[in-house]
Amino acid sequence: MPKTVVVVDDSSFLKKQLVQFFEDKLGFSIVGDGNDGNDAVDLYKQHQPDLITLDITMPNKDGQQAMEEILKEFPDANILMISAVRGEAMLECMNSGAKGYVEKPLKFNNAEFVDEFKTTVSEIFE
Amino acid sequence: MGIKNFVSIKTKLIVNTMIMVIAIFVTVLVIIAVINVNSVRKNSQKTANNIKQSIIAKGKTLSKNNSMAMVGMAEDNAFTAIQMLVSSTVSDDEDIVYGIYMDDMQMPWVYASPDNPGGTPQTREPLKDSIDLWASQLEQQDYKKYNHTTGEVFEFAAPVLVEDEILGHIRYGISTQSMIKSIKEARADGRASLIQTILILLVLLIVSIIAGLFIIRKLATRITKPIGSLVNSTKVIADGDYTKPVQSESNDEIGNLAQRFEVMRTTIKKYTDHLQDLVDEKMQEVNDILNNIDQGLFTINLDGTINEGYSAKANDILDVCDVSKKKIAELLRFDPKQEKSFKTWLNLIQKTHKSQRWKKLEKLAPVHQLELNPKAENDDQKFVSISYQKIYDKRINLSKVMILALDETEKRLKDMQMQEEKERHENEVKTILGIANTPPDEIAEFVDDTTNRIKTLRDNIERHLFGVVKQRTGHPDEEVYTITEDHIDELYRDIHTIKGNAGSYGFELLSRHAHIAEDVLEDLKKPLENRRDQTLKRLKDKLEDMDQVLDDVKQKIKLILGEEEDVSVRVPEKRISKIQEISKHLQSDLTPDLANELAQECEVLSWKPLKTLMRKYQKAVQKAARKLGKDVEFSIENDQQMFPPSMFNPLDEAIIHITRNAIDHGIESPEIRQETEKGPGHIAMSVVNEEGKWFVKVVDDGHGIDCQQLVEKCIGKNIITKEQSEEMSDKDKFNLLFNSGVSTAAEVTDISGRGMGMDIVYHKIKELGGSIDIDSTLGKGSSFTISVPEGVLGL
Repeated sequence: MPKTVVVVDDSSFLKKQLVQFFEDKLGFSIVGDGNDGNDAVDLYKQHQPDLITLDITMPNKDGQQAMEEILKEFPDANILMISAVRGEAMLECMNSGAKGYVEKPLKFNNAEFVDEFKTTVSEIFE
Repeated sequence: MGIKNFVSIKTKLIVNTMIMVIAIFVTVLVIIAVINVNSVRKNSQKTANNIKQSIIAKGKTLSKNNSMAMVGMAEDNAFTAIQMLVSSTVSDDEDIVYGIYMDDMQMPWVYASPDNPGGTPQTREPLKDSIDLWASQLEQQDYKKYNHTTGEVFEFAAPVLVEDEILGHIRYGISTQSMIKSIKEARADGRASLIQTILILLVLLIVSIIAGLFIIRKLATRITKPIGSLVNSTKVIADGDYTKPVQSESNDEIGNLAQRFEVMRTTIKKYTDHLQDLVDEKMQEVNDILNNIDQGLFTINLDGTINEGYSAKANDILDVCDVSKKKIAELLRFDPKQEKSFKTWLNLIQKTHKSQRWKKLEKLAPVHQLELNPKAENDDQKFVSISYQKIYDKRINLSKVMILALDETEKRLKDMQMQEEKERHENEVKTILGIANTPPDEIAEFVDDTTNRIKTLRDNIERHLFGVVKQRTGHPDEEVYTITEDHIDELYRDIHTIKGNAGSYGFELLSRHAHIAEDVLEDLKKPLENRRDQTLKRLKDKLEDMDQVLDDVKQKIKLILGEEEDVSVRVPEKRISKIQEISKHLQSDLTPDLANELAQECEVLSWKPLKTLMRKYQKAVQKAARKLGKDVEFSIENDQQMFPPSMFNPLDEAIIHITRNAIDHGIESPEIRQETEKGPGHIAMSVVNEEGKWFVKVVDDGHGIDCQQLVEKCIGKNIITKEQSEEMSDKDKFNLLFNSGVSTAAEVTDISGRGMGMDIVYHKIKELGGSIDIDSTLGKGSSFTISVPEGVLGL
């Protein structure tokens, strides 16, 4: 059984890239994708996937809020923050229980970036 | 490291054995007691039965005998005799509690008892108790047990019969007291023997416990002593002292264990000794590094407090007197937000240092770069990089964070220089590409046009500047000098054209300078015109920059396209694309390798065909030939081969000497050549690279070298003796040419033949580490081959 993932990002282009990456390079099964924090919470409740990726800056409800809501109901949720926001916000997310983070820009044609991404994901499931 | 509630093996051994011994004893005791009680009960039962039977037998006999004896007495009413018999029977046996004879009216004749041994009845009334009634009914002997005032009593009664008529009844009461007493005695005996047995066993128990304790203690000591010493040895090892050997004197499993421990100890000792060496070595290295690098180290606890120990460099780098006396927020110049973040970060790393990679956690720390303001006015701003390292305690718990501060001011400076260098290189490449990609005539036109425009601009600006300055120095009779819109437009047009042209040919630097000049020009339009001279001066400066860049472009044009006469030689497409490829990399990163490659490519761009490089020699040859009236053709092998422009410069002198020599002495006059049907003279040059050497060959088809003549001349000049000459090979003889003062030509010309020259050539080539080889055939021609090591010609 492949692991399941929900990908949430307000950029449809990045979302498409992420979906492709998780499917092709990491062998995940995509069970849902969303555009904002509300989608994230709904999709998590609906599918309870092995992993959910969240952008931090998103319309309606930001990634940090969505993360906190998910963790409130599912304290063991595996949440991977993928965002261009660095520093404090990312630190807060990690401190509140995100299992890992990946910094944008997503350089999927850079081998080093891809390896780093893969390691980050595999560490969540260690 | 101790064990909670430690109990030694010895104690365990003793306690367990003792418990076992006591348990066995108690069991034995209980069994003995049970058996004893049982047997006592059985015995007393038996005794009771026996006594009962004997009482019954005795009573029966007594009553029967008396009844028979009394028949006569009763018939005769021998009252006294009966009384005598009964009372004597009662007094004779202490078990008999009473003896009674009563007549058929139940009137007692005798009532003897131990209290009334005479037997005279106390009453004269018939006996009416139940037992009296039972006895009065008897027609034959019988007995009955009942409770008498003295206790349990068997009454034996028998009728006294005369011819079947009952005269009375004889009755005896026999007490069971003696029987009960016997039983009691038997029981008491049994109990006594039980107590005795138990007492003996108890004594035995105590003795065996004491003996057992003694033996077990000894045994336990024997067993546990080696364990104890082993434990002591391991304690020493556990404390980190591997020097003391593990004691092993026991020949059992413990001895075995001790031996293994000893092996382990020696192995560990060896290892730790080596480790210590390694650690010492590493520490030394680390110290060396610490002493030599500009890195400041200090550690903080997880609550953010700073520890005492830190590297002295930390003070310098962070511009403080004592790192440990400061707060982390002061040291790393946190703003309030960063201070809060840092606390969050410390919290995060404590929670997640085991599950997250440090690299990722470290990245989340709020400060990685510090820009420290200069302490003194002349100091530069200081750039400090900050990195964080986790420090674990022995139990692999995060205990501290090491903070490393590195002064990167110089690195920054170098980076900036590097960036500039990179830009310079990029510009070079673009310029070269611009030149290579543009038809030469267009380039020439651009250069001319730009040169003119710069000149015009310079003149105009000078003129305006003159006007403005003159006005400022305040000649009252001068008109106010105005720079009109037209003036500015005029300047702008030229600058803008230069900018556009330069841009379209790829001369970016020039274009950029023009762009800046445009910006400066904008300032002139502003109403604030009182600083016009300053603006004009800046414009002039920019113009100079542009001129300089143009000069650079001109130089590159010269380098790539050669002098005007070589303009037709185009740069091969392959080279251009190669440079284009390299320049792509330049956008991202200029590595030393790449820079080197680029330099080589640029170098190759400037290479010229051999034909061009040999032209100067050709010119020299032709000039010499004209002067001597000789007709000479000059040919070059592989004349399209490309070489660096200055490649043959070190050989200039030699080649010119050799070629002139060939024309002067080698090629015959046209008359002689006509006679010998040789046609016009011919000088051929070739350049070959073989086995790490360059061979430059000059071949002429003249009359060759007259060996005989040369030798004679040398003998005549006392350079060699005749004898010597006889031993010389042809080659040796040709080499005589290189002696100073030797010339084979009969007359001296101003071209060559002064008897000098060839020796200069020889020494020149020798200096370069090369050699000259001469070969010649009389009448056919000569060849001079210069060979020099590759490096000399710098390729």
